[in-house]
Amino acid sequence: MKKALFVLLFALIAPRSFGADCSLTTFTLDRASAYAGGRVEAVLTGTCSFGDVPYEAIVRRDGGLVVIELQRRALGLTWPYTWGERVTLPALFAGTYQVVVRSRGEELARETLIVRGSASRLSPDFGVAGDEVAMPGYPMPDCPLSFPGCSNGVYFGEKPAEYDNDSLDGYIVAVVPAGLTGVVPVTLRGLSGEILAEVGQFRVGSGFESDFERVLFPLNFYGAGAHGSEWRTEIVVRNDGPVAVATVPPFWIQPDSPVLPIPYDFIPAGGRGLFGLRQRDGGEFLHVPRGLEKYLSYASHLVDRSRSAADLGSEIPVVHAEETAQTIRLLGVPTASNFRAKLRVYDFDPVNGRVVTVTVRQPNGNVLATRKLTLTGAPVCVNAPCFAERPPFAALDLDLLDGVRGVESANVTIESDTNDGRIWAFVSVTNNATQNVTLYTPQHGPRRAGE
Amino acid sequence: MKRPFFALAVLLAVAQFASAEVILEPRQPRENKPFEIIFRDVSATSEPPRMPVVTIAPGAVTIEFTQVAGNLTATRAFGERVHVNGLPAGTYTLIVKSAEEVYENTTFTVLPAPFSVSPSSGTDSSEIVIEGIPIVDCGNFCVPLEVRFSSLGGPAKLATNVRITPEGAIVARVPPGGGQGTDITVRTSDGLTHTLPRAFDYGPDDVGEDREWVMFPLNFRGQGAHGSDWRTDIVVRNDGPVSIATEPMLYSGTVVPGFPIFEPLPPGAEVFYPEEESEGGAYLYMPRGAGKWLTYSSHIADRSQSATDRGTEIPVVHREDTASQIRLLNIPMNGAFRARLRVYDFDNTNQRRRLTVVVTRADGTKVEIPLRFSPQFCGVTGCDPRPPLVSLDLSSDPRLADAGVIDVTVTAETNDARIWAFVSVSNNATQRVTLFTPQHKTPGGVQ
Repeated sequence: MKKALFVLLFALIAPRSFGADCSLTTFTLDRASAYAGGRVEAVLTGTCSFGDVPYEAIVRRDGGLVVIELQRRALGLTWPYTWGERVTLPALFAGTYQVVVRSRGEELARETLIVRGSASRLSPDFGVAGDEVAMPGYPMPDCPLSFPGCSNGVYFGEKPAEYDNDSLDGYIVAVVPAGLTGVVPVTLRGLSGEILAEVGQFRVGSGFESDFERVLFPLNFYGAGAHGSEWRTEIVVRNDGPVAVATVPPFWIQPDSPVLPIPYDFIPAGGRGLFGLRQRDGGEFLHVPRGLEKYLSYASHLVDRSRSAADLGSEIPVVHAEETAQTIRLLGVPTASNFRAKLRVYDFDPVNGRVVTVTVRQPNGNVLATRKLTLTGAPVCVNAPCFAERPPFAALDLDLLDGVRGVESANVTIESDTNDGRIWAFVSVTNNATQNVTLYTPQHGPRRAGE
Repeated sequence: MKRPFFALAVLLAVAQFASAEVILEPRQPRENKPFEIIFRDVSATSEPPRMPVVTIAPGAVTIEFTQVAGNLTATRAFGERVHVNGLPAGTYTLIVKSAEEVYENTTFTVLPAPFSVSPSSGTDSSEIVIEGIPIVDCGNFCVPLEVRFSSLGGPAKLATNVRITPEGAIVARVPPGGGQGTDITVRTSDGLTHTLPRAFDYGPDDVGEDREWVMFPLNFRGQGAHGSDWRTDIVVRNDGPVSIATEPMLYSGTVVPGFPIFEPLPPGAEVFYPEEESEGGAYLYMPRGAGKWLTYSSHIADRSQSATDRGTEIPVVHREDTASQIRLLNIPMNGAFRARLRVYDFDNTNQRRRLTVVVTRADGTKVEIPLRFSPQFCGVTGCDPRPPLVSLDLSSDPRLADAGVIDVTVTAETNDARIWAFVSVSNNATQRVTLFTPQHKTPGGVQ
């Protein structure tokens, strides 16, 4: 791998006016590590005091420039308003690019993007001394007794690392040596210290927010409910990968231990644990280093423990970025009087105050009710990096809405008011007598920009 | 496409020639659109190549596998499905290698995509949606918006009923008499033209290339234990701007006296998917590009208890939900409940894939259960259109009787497989059903 440096692709800009009536206030690239043919998204937000709304950007590549050209169109919004766009950049080869935002030819913002040739072979590609790092296996030569001072092994920069070349699993697992700073090349070396393979570049240090992927547990609630019900959310996480996974937050390993479970900083390879519960609604994020989330498996169920002999509860989906969308559609939600139907809406990005529009319709399209919800509750970060503990969230009792209660079945659409929103939502329908819960979660295809 | 391919056991320094398949899906990649490169081969040893790393450069896509030591006495099938998020338009050499040995060297083309057309196949008079062309303000010098279809060797034909939606997309009716790989040219009101080569295929699809599909794991109805009356309510809704020709066609309310008409699903229509009195699930096919407009709801419920229980949601499975390995966690094995594992092949190719189910008991010990999809039933009217399914009653396996809480891992023999699986746990007395479905990230979902 010849090029492996990358830069942090994140920018908060000073508000930049355009068209005399609008401003661009944030311009963010969604990840720190870009690779050729990989997917990079730009998120733009701003406000307009007058005039047409910026909408769907036209993106083109022009040599070393990637141009995001904002179009504008009358949409009948009330001024002033907030706008947002989420733009997928075109496929790029390795190289350095300037990503430029324009409106009617006027440049509003610019960022540098460095793209490398392939996805990192190091999982993860950042960390501190003592962390485990996985890389594809290689036929490393053994050091013969007749070869004193042989130098074969895995090297971080010029420092040899402890490693395990477990050829049956196909991975080499190395431990980051102490005394390193900055970005160092990781190489596999032969008996005389010659380089057999360049594996990648490793950044020494703790991760930025964009080095992590978010996973959303929509419910991690425990508490007493109606009719003596005792609700618990049971969330289990298992690490099937070859290396320990340091998550944020850390959580409990060996939950069945007779001693009190202890929060560890990481889930060891092959380890499993219970995710912590809260006495509040609204779910919680798990942050996992990029490249390691694929090794994690989950189970998530909401159970009324008072009836667990007869009912093992309802599965609550674990939400990844790919399952979010700007618009969520839920079909056939019953709102009969002997059930209570609660809608929960989550912002996958910790942006406090995003407004969504909830529309409840009959199957024939007639609108029964419309409500605006503001998603709130994300903690305010003081120090970087900021790992949001929980998502902005709102809930709505559908069965209490005028015009909806008693309707046999309704369709619910939840739409982010700006085009940069990544939301997820579901309705729980609970029988008032039995407390049996039925979920209505998004079953339409995941958001796949560009497809 | 058949190409020679070598499977190499590096540590054993043994190379063995084999014949491999290299398939692009979709067959014709488009600029900046995701596609997959699929390999199928036979490995020379018991340990096939694995962990492909993709490197992309101008004119070249290189896929490098890791090869680990294996046993020479056993060969095995080998397959991989490599996801590419997108490439610039152009011609590429595809190089497949392991260590420093090159096994595969072929070329493919990525066509430009100045705009998108959905769906990308259909018949005369069906409608398409064109997105990605800016709707310009042409002032006083406007020309009429035009959409032309140009088939190889034939004259260009004008689409009819061309209009612009409130969202800024162009809708047009397909003119009659085109063929496969028809180009579409749009002339916008300012006189500029934009052409999408090989944009549209006329006619019914016979090979699956021009369609996408979803899978309903259950569409069962019938009587159960203790007077239960099971029904699977699957609702399909078209939220798109044009009609969608699904397969099977669904009944959306049109009737001529005495006969329901099964027709393409019009915009805004909401219909029920038919149930079957036997287990097995179902596919719903649609032209490629139209799937994004369909919304679903799927629940299995005991109608005898519908006053107190609305049943259990059954996920609708998209290709992004599938993987070659499915992991299901924390399933309680309890005498009061019955637990059943169902495994599906998302691709109805009748390959009779081999599967390995590993059940990990609470004490960490493992039980390995080999499975294989049954041969597809084919009669005079064709083959069973339902997904290949293998079902396993975990509760009746004596090795799992005292297993406590178990984890189940289902692994297809080759990594090109797209399987999906779930465990249903039903209470013997109340018939309440709890599902354990895959919650891990699947390769198709990796961005």
